[in-house]
Amino acid sequence: MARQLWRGVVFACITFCMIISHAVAQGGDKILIIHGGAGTITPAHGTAKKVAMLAAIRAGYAALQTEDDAQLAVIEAIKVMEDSPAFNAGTGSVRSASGEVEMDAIIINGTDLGTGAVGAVRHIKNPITLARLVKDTSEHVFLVGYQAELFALNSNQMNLVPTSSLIANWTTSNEGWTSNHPRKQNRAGTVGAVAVNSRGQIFAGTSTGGLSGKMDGRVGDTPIVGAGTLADDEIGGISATGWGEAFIRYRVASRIAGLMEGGMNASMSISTVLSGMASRIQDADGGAIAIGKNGDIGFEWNSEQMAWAYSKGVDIHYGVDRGEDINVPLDDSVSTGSTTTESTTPTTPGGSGSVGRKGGIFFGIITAFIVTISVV
Amino acid sequence: MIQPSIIVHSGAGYFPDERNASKLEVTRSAAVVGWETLLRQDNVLDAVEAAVRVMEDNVECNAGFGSVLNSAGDVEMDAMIIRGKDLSTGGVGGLCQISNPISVARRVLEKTKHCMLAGQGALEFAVREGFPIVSNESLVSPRAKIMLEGVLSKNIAPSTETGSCITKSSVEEKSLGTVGAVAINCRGEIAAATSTGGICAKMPGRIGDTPIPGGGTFCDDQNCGISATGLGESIMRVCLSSRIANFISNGMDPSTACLTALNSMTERVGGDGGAIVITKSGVLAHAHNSRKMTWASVSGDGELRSGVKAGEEFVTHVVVSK
Repeated sequence: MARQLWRGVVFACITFCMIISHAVAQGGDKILIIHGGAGTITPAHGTAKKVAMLAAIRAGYAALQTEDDAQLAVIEAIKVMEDSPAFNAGTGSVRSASGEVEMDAIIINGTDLGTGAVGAVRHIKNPITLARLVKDTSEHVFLVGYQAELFALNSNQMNLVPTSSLIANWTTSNEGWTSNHPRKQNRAGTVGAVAVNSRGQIFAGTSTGGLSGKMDGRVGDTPIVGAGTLADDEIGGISATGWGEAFIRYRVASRIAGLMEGGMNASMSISTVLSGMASRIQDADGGAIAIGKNGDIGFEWNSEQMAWAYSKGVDIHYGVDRGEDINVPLDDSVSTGSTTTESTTPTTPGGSGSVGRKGGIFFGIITAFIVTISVV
Repeated sequence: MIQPSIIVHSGAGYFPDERNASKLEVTRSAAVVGWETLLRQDNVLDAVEAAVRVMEDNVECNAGFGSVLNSAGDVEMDAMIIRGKDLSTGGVGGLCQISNPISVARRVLEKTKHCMLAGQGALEFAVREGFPIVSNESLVSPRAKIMLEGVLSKNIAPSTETGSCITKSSVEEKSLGTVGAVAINCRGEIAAATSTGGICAKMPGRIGDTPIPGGGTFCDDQNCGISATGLGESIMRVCLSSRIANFISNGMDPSTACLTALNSMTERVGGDGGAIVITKSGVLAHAHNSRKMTWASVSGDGELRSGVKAGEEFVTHVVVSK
């Protein structure tokens, strides 16, 4: 009897351990959230952005799904938006005072804070990939100007492209560089992405053509850690968009991170900081996306519109106008979808990753109990 | 009532003891010039700019003349100045052939809607604003050349403190000579400024922490003013001065705030450095977790304090020239 009981206990323990390790391996939710600019977005422009954002989410989420790779998710999503003329990034970038296309981009690894950024760089089709090259193949964090282009050339991993190939019909018809007001110069099209994989590893990235009519050599908030972009596995990931100078001066991403670190949810953190920025700096507006370390997401703006989209693996939520939340399946071979309009921006409660683990533990205990009883 | 004060630094890192005296001399001189400017003009931007210009013009400092060289043998400089009252910011990154980058940074703040201009665009702006272009050679010091040759040929670890040859094995001895200043007036208005030639043998086009608000420079009248120095890449990755400022706004004393943030940076991403601070209530502080940091401050009725090693403080009195 004693020996049977002992055998049963051992067997139950082994089963229990197997269940636990399986549950832990499932980990937390894989999440990808993107934005395609905050500011004034016309309906036509909004439609074009929505189409491109769906493609961007699908391209990015595939990397999360198949390889659990948050960096690849961020890069693939941003590349789709850089290549689309509907955004002020890569192709479709606005032009500087001299008519040049000068772009900023950054990517940050939240695990080791590895960072790569480029500023005021011309002739690069996908600046986010150049930012990654800076992070992974140089000892530095931030390269600017034509020296950054030389770095790209010397890497043998990318070619330079003519400025004309980066200018899209969309931007030529919307050019407003005769306007001096920063709000008018913000063509609402900086793009960004934040992703978290099942192990809680966070990456954040942002890419932009900057302000229309900006001075040559002007660097905005995008490639400045703590201004437009931030990632830290211990806090979360953030990407912002708007009038860059205000985001630099107010250190928007750092402040959002500070509130999140203190326990505030992502949504409230973003709103609070945007309000603070607007009251400290006249005419400052824009928006941001964020994922907290527990998987809670936020997307808020104090400009008129912000193009945003996210997926946690089943469907895609996206919108442009306030209160808009369109829902379609992530897998676009599925025919049904739905559109809902909500009055408040939906957020996901924190701790969404822990359900898998708790369920696994509970199941393990029950199984062990049943096995022990049956053996005895 | 806040005492008008100024604190300056000429870099954290390592250099041989033989250089202590010359480093102290230029740093004290910068603090005194800044102090006199503050008394005379009651303008904190003027005060920090004046102090930084003294150090940019001096060969002992890794800023302006005497800057370390990039891998191509050129002087490429970063600088930033911030007014804490309204967070107005002006910065330059990768600026060549200009004697005083801090003055160009100030012009960016006052004359443009932007916060940072980089590379060729920064130079073109400086020229449009009437800053004379100088030859690269006029900014290159003999010591900077020797240092670069040493790094490139002997596989010595890159450094921003010219003149100290350090082997790659002692990478913790990376020494730096970025300069900075923070000033406060009796109304609690604060300004912060930082200027640097960067890291010896850096890649051309490389920007460090200096022109990054929340990185190497920070200023907000509602909190404090900070200028930091150290391994730029590390400072940027952790947003060092933002962290220091957060600790201070949560009640930590400024010296401890600097050390805590610096040690946390070293632990998380490597590299070391130092910082100077003036809080919104006029408390001056400095701290470093590198081997040395040269600093000097003037406040109150003209007390000049300065030091190089941790815990060191020399005190004299400033005679203000009329």
